[in-house]
Amino acid sequence: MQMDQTLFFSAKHRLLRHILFWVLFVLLYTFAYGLMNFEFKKKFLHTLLLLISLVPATYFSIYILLEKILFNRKYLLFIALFLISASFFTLVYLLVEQYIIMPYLYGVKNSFFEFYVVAFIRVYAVVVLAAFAKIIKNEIEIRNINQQLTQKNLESELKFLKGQIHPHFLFNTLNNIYSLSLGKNPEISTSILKLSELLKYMLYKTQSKFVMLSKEIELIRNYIALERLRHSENLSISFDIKGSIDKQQIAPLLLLPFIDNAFKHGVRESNPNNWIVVFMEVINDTIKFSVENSAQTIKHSANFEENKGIGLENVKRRLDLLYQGDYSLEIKEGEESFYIKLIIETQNFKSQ
Amino acid sequence: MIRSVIIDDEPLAINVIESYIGKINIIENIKSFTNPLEAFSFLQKEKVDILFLDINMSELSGLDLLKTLFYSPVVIITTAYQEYALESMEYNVIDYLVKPISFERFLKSINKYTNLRNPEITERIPNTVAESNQFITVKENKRQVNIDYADIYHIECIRDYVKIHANSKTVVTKTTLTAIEESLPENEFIRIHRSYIVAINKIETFSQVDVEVNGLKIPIGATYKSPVLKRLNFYFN
Repeated sequence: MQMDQTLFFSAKHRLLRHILFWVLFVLLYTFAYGLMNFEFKKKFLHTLLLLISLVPATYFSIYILLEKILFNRKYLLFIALFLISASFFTLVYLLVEQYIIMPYLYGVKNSFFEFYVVAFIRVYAVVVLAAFAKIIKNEIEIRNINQQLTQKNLESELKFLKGQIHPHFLFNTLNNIYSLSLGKNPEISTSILKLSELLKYMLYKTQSKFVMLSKEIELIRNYIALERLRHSENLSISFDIKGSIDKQQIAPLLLLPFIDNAFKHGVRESNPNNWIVVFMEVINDTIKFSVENSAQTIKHSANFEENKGIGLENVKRRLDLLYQGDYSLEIKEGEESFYIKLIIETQNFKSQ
Repeated sequence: MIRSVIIDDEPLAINVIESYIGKINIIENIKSFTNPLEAFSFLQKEKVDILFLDINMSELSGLDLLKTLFYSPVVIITTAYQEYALESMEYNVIDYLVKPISFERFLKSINKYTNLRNPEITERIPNTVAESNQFITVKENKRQVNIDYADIYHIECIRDYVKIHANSKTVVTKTTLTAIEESLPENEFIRIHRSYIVAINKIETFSQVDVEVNGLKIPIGATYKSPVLKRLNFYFN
């Protein structure tokens, strides 16, 4: 669906769009004016002749005045050129009306010369409409570019940070610690392996745009297992899955921030009853993912409120960029719990 | 018997591989080296089947030295670098293990070797890893008892003991419910009460206050209520 929209607005279909615009205009005008005295054929020809001044006025205004001058912020030049061109095209319109339309269509000579201003409005009403469409299109493009720039920024920041990590040192050291723990403490051994898998995932998997869903789930399980070490008996955490998870793909590290959020804000040692439930339901290409955690009875300072937002803000941005119209994110903050539900359609990316 | 040699400049890394090899009957490690030059002069005289090689040793690239051998042993590369995976295909490298290596992953790579050399191998590598264990093992009266997951209805805790109610038997063992909980697959069993664990696929009905298993009504603990009800709703709706 999202793909179809962009296709319609692409450069390839521009001719089609424009032809559509003018055809609609002619039909609309003919119909509207023709209704006055039912002279549809005359009004049709009248409208066609109008196009003589209307079409150049429109294209000049959009492609030169807007695109080349206004969007380049040359405001004075814009105003000057606008006044000149507006006068010119209005004059052309009046001449056509006076010397072609009136005598030949309506058989009137030396008819009344429409007021200049009225003529201007007739011509530029349409121009303004076209200009409006152009401006909107421009805004959308700017917004897209901004999003992409932000994303690129985040990516290069990430690359920089990764460069600081020296994976060679890190993984060799983890391996050495693992070696020391072998045979002595199985809990340490498995925890180191899980931590290593997590780090490998964050360093390497995030380079691809999409990963197998099963791999992301493995990551989540590793993360949860490690978090369990940090919390004692007063936390219950579960991760339940329904549906077959072998074929789908998903953007890496998309789901983890929600769980991370639940741990950060849903668990307090002082509370004997912390719980986090994570659910994933996969139906064909739809992934439904929800995380709910017991709410805080103690509200902290302003800091608490802010921190809750930041991680989720990033995720929302990624979702907008990668899944545009194909996702829905629901966040419910209640007395008893904090609840998020994410639904993603992965269909469009099957071929990746 | 498969003969192997380990080359890695970090002794602790060597320990890991040696300990894994120790768990597998059909492979024997002949010698381990931290110095690649020593290793290769050894290999000129002694033929081995598998070479475990770290390619990022400080002095030399292990791969270059492979060229000096008069025969090509099967090579399994161990390294901390993820990125080298593709380069080594020409040197008879059959697998690429990224440190830290789990025992399961190691086992997989030995299997790759045996499949290559001897597809009809009659001796199977003992599966010491509980990859698809479908049962739990507990001690009852000094005897080991195995109970299939599929047979368990519910588990209750009575003071220091845990009673496992299964299809064909009821087993009592001295342990904590939490310990049992940790050894059970988390998506097949759910702890609904301080004293009760229930098999999800054996739940007949449930309400806001209890769960029915095998005709028995088992209460849902107050502190467990929220998460448990949500999970039950997920599974049964």
